[in-house]
Amino acid sequence: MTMNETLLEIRGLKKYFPLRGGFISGERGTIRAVDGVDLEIRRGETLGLVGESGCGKTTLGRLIMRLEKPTGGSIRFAGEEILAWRGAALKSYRGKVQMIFQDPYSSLNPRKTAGGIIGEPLVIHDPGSREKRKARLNELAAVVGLDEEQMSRYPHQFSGGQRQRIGIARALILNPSLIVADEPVSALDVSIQAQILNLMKRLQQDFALTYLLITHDLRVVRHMSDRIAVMYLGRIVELGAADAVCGRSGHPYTKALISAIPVAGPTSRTERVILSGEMPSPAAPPPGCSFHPRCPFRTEGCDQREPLLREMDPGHWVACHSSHISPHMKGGL
Amino acid sequence: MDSVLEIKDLRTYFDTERGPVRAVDGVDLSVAAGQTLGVVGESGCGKTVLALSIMRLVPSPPGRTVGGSVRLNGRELLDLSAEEMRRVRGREISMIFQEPMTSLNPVFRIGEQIAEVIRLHQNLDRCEAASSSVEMLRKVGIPSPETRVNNYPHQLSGGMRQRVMIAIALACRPRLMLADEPTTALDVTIQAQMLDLIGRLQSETGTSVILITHDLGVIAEATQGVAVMYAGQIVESSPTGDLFSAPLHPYTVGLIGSIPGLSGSTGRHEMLSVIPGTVPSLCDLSAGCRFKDRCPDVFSICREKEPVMKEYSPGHSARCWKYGD
Repeated sequence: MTMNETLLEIRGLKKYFPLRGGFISGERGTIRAVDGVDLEIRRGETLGLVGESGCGKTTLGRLIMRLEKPTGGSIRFAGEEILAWRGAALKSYRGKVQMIFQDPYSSLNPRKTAGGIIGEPLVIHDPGSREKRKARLNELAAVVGLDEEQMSRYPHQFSGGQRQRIGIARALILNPSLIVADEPVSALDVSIQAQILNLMKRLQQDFALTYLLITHDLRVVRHMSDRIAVMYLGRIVELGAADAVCGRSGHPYTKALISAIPVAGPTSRTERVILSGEMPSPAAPPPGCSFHPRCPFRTEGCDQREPLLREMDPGHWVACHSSHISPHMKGGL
Repeated sequence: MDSVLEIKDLRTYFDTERGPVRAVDGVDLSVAAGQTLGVVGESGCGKTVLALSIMRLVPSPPGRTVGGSVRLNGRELLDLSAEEMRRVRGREISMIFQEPMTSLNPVFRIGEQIAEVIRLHQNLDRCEAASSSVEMLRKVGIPSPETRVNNYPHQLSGGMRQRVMIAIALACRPRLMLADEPTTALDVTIQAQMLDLIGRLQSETGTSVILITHDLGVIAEATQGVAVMYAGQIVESSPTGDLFSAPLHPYTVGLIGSIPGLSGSTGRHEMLSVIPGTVPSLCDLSAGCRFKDRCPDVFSICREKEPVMKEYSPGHSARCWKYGD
């Protein structure tokens, strides 16, 4: 499995949502949910996309799934532009790119059996004979750790962890190459969370899967990912190998995110960076660097010029005016 | 050490068609003055019902506290009349909840909601109460509190709302504050602000805190003592440092092991340690230890007899047969 081949390439991707007024008035402005994102996902890797609520990470996932229509930019899958695809081409793309959702309670149809849910993509994309479908269904159930006899049960008869296994089996049944997992374990208890994360790792090895793992939990991202992208107000502010992003963070926001995570252990910690204030509204992003109002290291000019992603070390990109010069960035946490 | 709260053998059951659910089943707990005690456990372990039992807010029916004692500064809370208990809540014990949107009243300005608590428990007139609610908002770090008092809850962000909840909870300088997952609904950077704020206000007012959470990280950061709950019981309790350096109960060991770490290189193929299975149903518990079906070190006695809490080092107790009886 090579990890250098690009599977999905995103360039200048934008999604603006109109902000509507009262009942009669028209648009009052736009929410810039995704505001010019460049990103590539390599075959076989896990790319972790991390950020706080409202940073646009879920919208980015939905754009990749073609569940939202972008305002601008391009998405290329295995070298081909997907945004123009319709009909059969789009259907085939949706077979190759599958999604695992956050909430295992609301993402499964309560009136279908587990077998019906897992097998539905097969009925749509690759019907084949009934026996073949059944065989594939049972194979998948075993892969995610469910029993054959459980396939006739309904979602409410399963626990949260088992439901997430059903969601994973559904995503896998068409042999996809890319899986977009949007907060796959946030709704689960820690002990169950570990079971699901282990399952996802094992499946990745067994089926050569590529993951885009979207989550707010840096611990999960750190554990699972080869590379990490940090998103703030619709933009990628840092991108690089997991070790580099967590160990030698270049962006003050990444640093603050990492230091905000409570560490479960008696180990001493370094000084915590507590950010003042909250994320501004994406309807009225601050001028210049969108992080400057909360940034402890802001300097003159941060409120005027917007920083672009620059390569700090090979493969480690940071969008910050001061990441190259100032000594506060040296050393990890 | 003086303990503010002393709980002995507290039992709260819920009546269901399938028999009583023993949500809290024989809990002993004590909180020292000025201390923050963490209660950690997964969903359904009974940690919220424990807090509600202390506040005597368990919905009844179907819930009922069937036995035990809860003493606040030596006074038995379970014997108080409803009217007496109402005066204790808010003034001596207060509570903050997980979801700040649903625990604030959407149709009242936040200033009025803070003033309500103050006027209920202190002999202040409307005007004095209003000015002390501005003061409380300033203390919890809300910018321009003079104008913010006139806001409604929907005009505030999640973090701000939780600050308002904290202001309400601490308005009467209670002896004890119960915080049930106070940061779970918040983003990590806001969570850090909130834990910082609770700690700072606590050292100002000397309030003891029971911090209920599922996050061992929060426990490590914000508490001095910790009780681990499993299936309605406390299975381990210790000073916070000891719990992480020398956990005793296999459940605690499993919980700590299943958290993905941040530091060190976690290899691509490295797996997390896992507690197999799920929590048992609380209405038909079989004999023996409640953790036996998920435990990596079961002995035959574990299936026959329920273990009892035993102290293995000063302040560090566990409920497990592994360490002898």
